[in-house]
Amino acid sequence: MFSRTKSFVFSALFFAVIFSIYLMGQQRSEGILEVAIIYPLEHPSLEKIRIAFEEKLSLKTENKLSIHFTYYNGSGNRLLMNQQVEQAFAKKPDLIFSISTISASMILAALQKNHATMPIICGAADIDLLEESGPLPHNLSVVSDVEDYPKQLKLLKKIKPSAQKLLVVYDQGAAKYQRDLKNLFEPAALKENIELLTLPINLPQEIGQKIPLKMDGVDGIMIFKDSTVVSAIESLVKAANFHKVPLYASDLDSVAKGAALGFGIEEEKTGEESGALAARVLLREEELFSQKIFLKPQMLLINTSAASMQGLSIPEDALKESPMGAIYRESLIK
Amino acid sequence: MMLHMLSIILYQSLLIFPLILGGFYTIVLMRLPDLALEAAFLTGATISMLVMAFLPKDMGHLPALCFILFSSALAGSSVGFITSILREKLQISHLFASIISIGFFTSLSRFMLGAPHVSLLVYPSYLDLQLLPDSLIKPELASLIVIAILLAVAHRFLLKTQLGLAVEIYGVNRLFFKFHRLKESFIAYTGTTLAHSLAGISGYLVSQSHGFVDTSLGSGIGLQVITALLFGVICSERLGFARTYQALAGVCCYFTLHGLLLISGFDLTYFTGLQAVAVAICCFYRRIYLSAPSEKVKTYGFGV
Repeated sequence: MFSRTKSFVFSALFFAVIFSIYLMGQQRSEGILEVAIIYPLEHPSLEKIRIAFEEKLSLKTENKLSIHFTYYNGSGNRLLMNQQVEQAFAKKPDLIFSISTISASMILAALQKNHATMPIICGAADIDLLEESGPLPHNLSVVSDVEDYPKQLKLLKKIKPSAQKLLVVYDQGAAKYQRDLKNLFEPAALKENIELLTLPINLPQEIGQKIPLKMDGVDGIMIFKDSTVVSAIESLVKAANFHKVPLYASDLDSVAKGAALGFGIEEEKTGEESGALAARVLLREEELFSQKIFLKPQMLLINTSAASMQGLSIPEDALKESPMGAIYRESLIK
Repeated sequence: MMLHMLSIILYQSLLIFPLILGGFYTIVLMRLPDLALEAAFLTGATISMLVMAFLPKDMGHLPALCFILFSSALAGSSVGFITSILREKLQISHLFASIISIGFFTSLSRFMLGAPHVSLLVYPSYLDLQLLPDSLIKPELASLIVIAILLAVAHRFLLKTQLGLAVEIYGVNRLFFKFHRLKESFIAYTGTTLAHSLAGISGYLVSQSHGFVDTSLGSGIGLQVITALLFGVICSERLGFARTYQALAGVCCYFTLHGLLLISGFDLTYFTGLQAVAVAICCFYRRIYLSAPSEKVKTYGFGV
């Protein structure tokens, strides 16, 4: 009988602790706006977007609103992310900001069940992919950086006119880049008389295994922004340095890591635009109504040290402002 | 072109040869479903990164390489030791012990790395001992050949000793130890620890070659190990050479097939599916056509 009492007491204590933790989580201070930030994993680019969003939002609402940020980091686990999205909705924040297409898709799926009405801003999300399942809900807006492959390849031809064969490495699980490759990138390459060789991969470590056998006769390696490939940038840099062909990235962060060229948008811009929109919504200056903000790439970053290691000589006029509108800047690895 | 392809196949094979050798001990000889090799692989890579961060900059490449290899082996062996404790002391089946080890050591590696992905390009390549001139052949290949030869010699020597024979008996008939009043757990600990130390070495070699350590480094390695070992088993049984060379034959076959597929333009989207089909074909072939061992198989001791 004593052991039964003991079990009862311990069970009651256990449930009391769980319930207390739940209640603590539900508490909200008066007068403070809750902003939930949902992102799939820790990544330097996503961190830049998140920090830029917070800074812009805090700046725009300074002395007007108090904001508390709650973070939901999926740690690369989709099941966990799903759970976190549900949790975020259950807490009914004043605004939700998500980073990346994966988070946005999960939010869209959750909205169909939850019918939540709080404003939602999806940063760095692929609008086309999100609209595949139908028009966006009225309380969801997207800030998306879009690619400009024709311009990207024109710039490559300007810097390396002899480029005729490009190896494109991409994540075969990323539907966006498979689609972009077929519908946008291949036609753009055809226009510039560039032959494409593709290397689809599933995991970052596959690049080191598979790339050496694909390098025959290749004039350059091209990558998109998919995180699987970008996270293996070191393998790509090693391959590019060994075979003396330039590595051309579609984001700017990879240039500091050893890519000779990078064409894209500063990640902070996505965060800033999202933060500015969030501030306007929270200050009731604007209604959030299925807005779509497109940010086009504007910068070509050149790593002159990496370029010389990868057998690329940069023409003199490439170091000045281009008549095509891209801004060239040098970046040197120390 | 041919020489270039062969050098790449050799290079890729030698990177994971220690891992396949480790898999040979636990999966082939001891007949354990050893998924924890993945954890040992990652932990070896993680510790090697930490060691590289603390090595003095003016240290020679050869002593540094020896130190890193020793540290990676030690790291891998710790995974094997923990897995063995779970199995022997707590009587958890090896499969579940492996799953526990994978979960624990992946989190531990994540904690030690401080980030899910760490670049190694800031450190020199200690595998490059300047033994070969810069050419089409990768400069790290010479070190890999030396490491592989040393491991192969040690492996052949070990299998001739009582310990090596005991490791094989463990997979065939554990009652032997009970009957002869020998400590079965000692063999379990030694075999698993040794296998995982080899996996740890491979973890360093692969991460140094790729230029980064990622917490997903060991993902999918199980299928690679099993496929390579199956190829090795079939080669040794069909061609009649000793099982001592199964690991080497298997890994070379695996990467030759891998290379041929890449060169032929095969759609790599379905590569893992093809790997699974290859495993199925090997199992089927072994069952139907190799049910009786070849007379040409050289044996010594207990059929090694």
